[in-house]
Amino acid sequence: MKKYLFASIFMLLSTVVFAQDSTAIQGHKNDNKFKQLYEEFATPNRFRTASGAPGVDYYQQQVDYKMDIELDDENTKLYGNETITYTNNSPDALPYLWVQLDQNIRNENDMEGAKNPSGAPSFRRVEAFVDEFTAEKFVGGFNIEAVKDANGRPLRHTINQTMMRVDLPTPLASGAQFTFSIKWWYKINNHVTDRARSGYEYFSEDDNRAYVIAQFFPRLAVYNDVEGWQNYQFWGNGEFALNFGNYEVNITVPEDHIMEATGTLQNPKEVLSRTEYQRYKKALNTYDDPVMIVTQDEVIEKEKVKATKKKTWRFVAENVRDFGFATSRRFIWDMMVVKVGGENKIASSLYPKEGNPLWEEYSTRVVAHTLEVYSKYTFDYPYPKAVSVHAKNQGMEYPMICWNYGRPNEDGTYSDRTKYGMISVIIHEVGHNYFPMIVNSDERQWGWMDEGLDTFMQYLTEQEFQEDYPSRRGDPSKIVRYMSGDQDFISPIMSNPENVFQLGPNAYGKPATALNILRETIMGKDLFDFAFKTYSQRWMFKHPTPEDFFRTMEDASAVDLDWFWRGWFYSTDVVDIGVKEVKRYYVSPTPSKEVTDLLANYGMTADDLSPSVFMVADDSEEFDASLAEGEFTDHSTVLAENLEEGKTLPKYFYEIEFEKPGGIVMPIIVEYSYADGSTERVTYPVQVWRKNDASVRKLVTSDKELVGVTVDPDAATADVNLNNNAWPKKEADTDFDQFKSKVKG
Amino acid sequence: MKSKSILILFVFLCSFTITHDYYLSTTNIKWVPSKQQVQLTSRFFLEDIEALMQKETGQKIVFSPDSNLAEIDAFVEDFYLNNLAIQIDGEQQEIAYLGREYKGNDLLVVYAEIILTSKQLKDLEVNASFLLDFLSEQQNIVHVNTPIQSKSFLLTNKKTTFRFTL
Repeated sequence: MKKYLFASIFMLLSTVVFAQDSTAIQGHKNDNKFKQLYEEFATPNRFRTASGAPGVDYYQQQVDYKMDIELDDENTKLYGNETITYTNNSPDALPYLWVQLDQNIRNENDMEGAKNPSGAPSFRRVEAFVDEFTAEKFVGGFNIEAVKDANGRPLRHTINQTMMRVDLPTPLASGAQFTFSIKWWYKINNHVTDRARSGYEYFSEDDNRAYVIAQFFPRLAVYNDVEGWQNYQFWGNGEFALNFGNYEVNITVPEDHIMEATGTLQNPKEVLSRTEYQRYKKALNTYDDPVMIVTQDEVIEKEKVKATKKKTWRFVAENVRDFGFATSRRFIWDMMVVKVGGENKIASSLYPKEGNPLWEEYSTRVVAHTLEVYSKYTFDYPYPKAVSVHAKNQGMEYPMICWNYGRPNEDGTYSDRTKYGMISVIIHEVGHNYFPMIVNSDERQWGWMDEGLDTFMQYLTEQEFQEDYPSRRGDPSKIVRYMSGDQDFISPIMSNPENVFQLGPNAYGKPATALNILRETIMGKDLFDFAFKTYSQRWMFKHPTPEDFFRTMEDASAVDLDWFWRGWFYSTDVVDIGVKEVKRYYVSPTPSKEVTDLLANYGMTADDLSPSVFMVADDSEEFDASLAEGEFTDHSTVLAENLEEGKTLPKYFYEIEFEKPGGIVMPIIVEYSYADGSTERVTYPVQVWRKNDASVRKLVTSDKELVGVTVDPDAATADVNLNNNAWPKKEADTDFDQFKSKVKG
Repeated sequence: MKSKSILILFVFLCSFTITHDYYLSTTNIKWVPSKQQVQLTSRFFLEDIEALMQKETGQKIVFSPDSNLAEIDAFVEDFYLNNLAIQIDGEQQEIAYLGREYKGNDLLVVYAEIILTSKQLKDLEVNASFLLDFLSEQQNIVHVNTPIQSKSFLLTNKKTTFRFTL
C-alpha cells in the first residue's frame, strides 16, 4: 500500500510545482484560460439558441420603402419624399419608432469634430495652416419638411442629433403595420474634401460632378431582442444597423446622367439611348468580357454640354437593408454576367475617365471573381447584381453597389500598389454584400463582425485571384506589429468601434488574421469551412450577434473554442510561445538525488521500491559521462532482465520545456530536427496548457539524435517574439540585420 | 493619466476603407550593447512620403517602382536626417543613414544606425518630427528597446521630444 501511494506521488512530482508556504491562504476565482464564456455571453433564450442558431421565437422587423428622389445638380441638393411601411414582428407593442438621420452628422453641431479633443498646433507648414484655418466648414444635415401618417395627418416627432423619434397615435401592436411618410431635403457635401462616405467629387476642368449617394434618406432604426431600439447615435465611426425590406425608388436626375443603384432597373429602355439599350441587352448575355454600355469617347463628348431636361430611373430591390446610388454624366459604364448557383448575376462598373485604363480592365472582372469565391464559402449570391463604382479615396459598401478607390496617374500609368489597392478594395466592398448586407450584423455596435469576416474572406478571394497576391492583411506575421505594440493603444476586438484606437487593425486586420489562423492552424480547413458556411447560412437575411457566430463555429465543428475567443477577441493578449530548455536523459543504475530526497520524506530508500528504472538528466549532478556509453541495459540490471528478446528501447530520451510568456494559449507547433538531417513536425493540442499556463514539458524519444527544436516554424500563429522559438537558441534576424547585411554585404 | 488624453487623438480614421487608415509612422530604436550600436528602423506609409516629395519638388514623382531613383534616394535621406535627432548621455549623435526599402504594397522602411563609443548607455533624448508640419493628424510612435527596459512614446505636433533614462 505504501509503495503504491508512493508511486502516484512520484508521478505527480514531474508536473506539479508546490507553492511556497505562506501564513494566509489567498483563494482565487476560476481564471483558467479554458474556462467557458458563460460570463461574457448572453444567456441563450427562445430568440437565440445555445447552438448559435436563431431560436423558435426569433423575429425581425420588416421595413419597406417607396421613395421619389430628385437631384438638383446645379445647387447640389437632394430632395426626397418617402413612404415607409413598418411591420412590427416583435412580440412588443411599440409606442414610438426611431428613425436614423445620418446626414445630421454634417449639420451645424458637427458631432464628428466635436467628439475629438483638439489643440493649437505648435508648428504647421504655412500653406496647411492657411488652408486649415481659412477653410469654410461645410454645413449640411437633413431638413425634415413633413412627417405624416397614411392619411396625411402630421405625426409628432422629436429630433435628437442623428435620431428622430416618431410618436405613434396609438402603440403599434405586435403583428401590426404602420405606414407613414417623410419629406426631406439636404445639401450634398463634397466627399473628397470632407472625407465622407457619401457626396460628390467635383471635376473643375469641366465643372461636373460624380455623385455617390448613401445614408441619404431617413432610415428606420433596428428594434430587436438584443438592444431594444438600436438608437446609439451616429458619431462617424460605428456604421449602421438596418432592417430588411423591399424598396421601390424613383430617382430623377439630369437627362444625360448614367446611374447605378441598389436593385433592378425597371425602365432601361426609357432612360438609355437606343444604342446604350442594345449594349445593355447584350451585356445581360455576355459572360467572358464586359460590354461597354457607355464608352470613354462618349463620356468625353457628354462632359462638354449639360442637359437641361431630367429623367427618372426606377429601381426595385427586394430584401435589402439599405439603398445607395451613383449618378453622373461623366460615368463610363461596362457590364457582364457571371453564373452563380446556376443563375446569371450582373457584374458591372461605373467610373469617370480618370479611372482608366485600370478600371475598364479590372473592375467588373474583379466583381465577378468576388461573387464566385464568396459564394463558394458562404451561400450563392442571392441578389441580381453587384456594381463597383469608382470614387476617389474611399471604399464603401451598400447592397448590390459599392464605391471603390484606385486611380492611375494623370498620364494613365499606375503602380502595382495602385492596381492591387484597387483590386483589394473592390473585393472587400463587393464582399460586404455577404457581411453585413445579407448576414446583417449590427455595425453600430460591432465593427469587426462585418469588417473582420469580410477582410478574412477578402484574403481568401485575393489568394484565389492570383498566386502570391500581395494581401495587406490576413497573413499571421502581418498582425504582429500591431499586437506587440503599446498596450495603452490597443483595445480588444470586442469593443465598440467608436472607442478603439486604431480601427483598421482592430476591426479589420486582427479578426481577419484570427479567423485565418483558426482555419489553417486550429480547426483545419474542412471543419472551419463547414462551420463558417453554417453560420453564414443560419444568419443569411437575419441579424446575428457575436455570440451567434462564436457558438455556431463550435456547434458545427465540435472544437471547443472558448479559449480562442477569450484570448483573441475578448483580450489584448499576445501569442508568445518558446522553447526554454532541452535535456537529454540517460538510464542510471542509481536514483538521482531528487528521487532519494523524496523517498527520504517517507522514511524510505531505493531498496524499498519495487524494481525501478532510474533516469538522470545530462545537466544533473549525478550525470557521469560513462552513462552515455553502451546501451541503456548496460546501466540497469533490472532493465536488462525485464527487456524481452526482440523488444528494443528508443536510443534517445529528451525532455523539452516549452515556455509561454504570451497570454494567449495556442497549440504548440514544433519541428524537431535530427542529426541525420530529417525533421519531424508535431502539434501538441492547445489543451496542453490547461493545467500550467506558463510552461509545459514534453518527453521526446527517438532513435536519432535531436539537434534542433523550432517552435512555430511556419510563423503561423502570430508569435510576437521569435527570439525564444529555437533551440539551440538563436536571435531572430530583424529587418535591420537583414537590410544591413544586404547593403554592406 | 496624461497619456490617456493623447490617446483619443491617436488615430484619425474612417471606419470605411480609405487608402490607409491613419497617419502614422513607427520608429524602433534598439540599443545593442554587445555591438556598441543603436539600430534605427522607421516605417512610413510610402504614400505620405511620396505626397511630401511631390509637394516639395513640384514634380510628379512616383514611388515603388521609383520614377526618379537617385532623387528619391537623396530626398528620403535628407527627410530622415532632418527630422530625427538623438542625444545619448548628453551628446548629439551622428546618425549614419543606411538606406531604405519597400515592404508590402504600402510601407517605406528606412534604416540607420548610431555607432557608440561606449558599451554604456544611460540616457537617450529623441526629437522626431516626421511629417508633423505636413499632415495635421500625423502621429509618430517611437519604441525604445534595450536589454534592460523597453518603452513606447507617442509624438505629435504638440510634443516632438522625449527622454528615456535607464
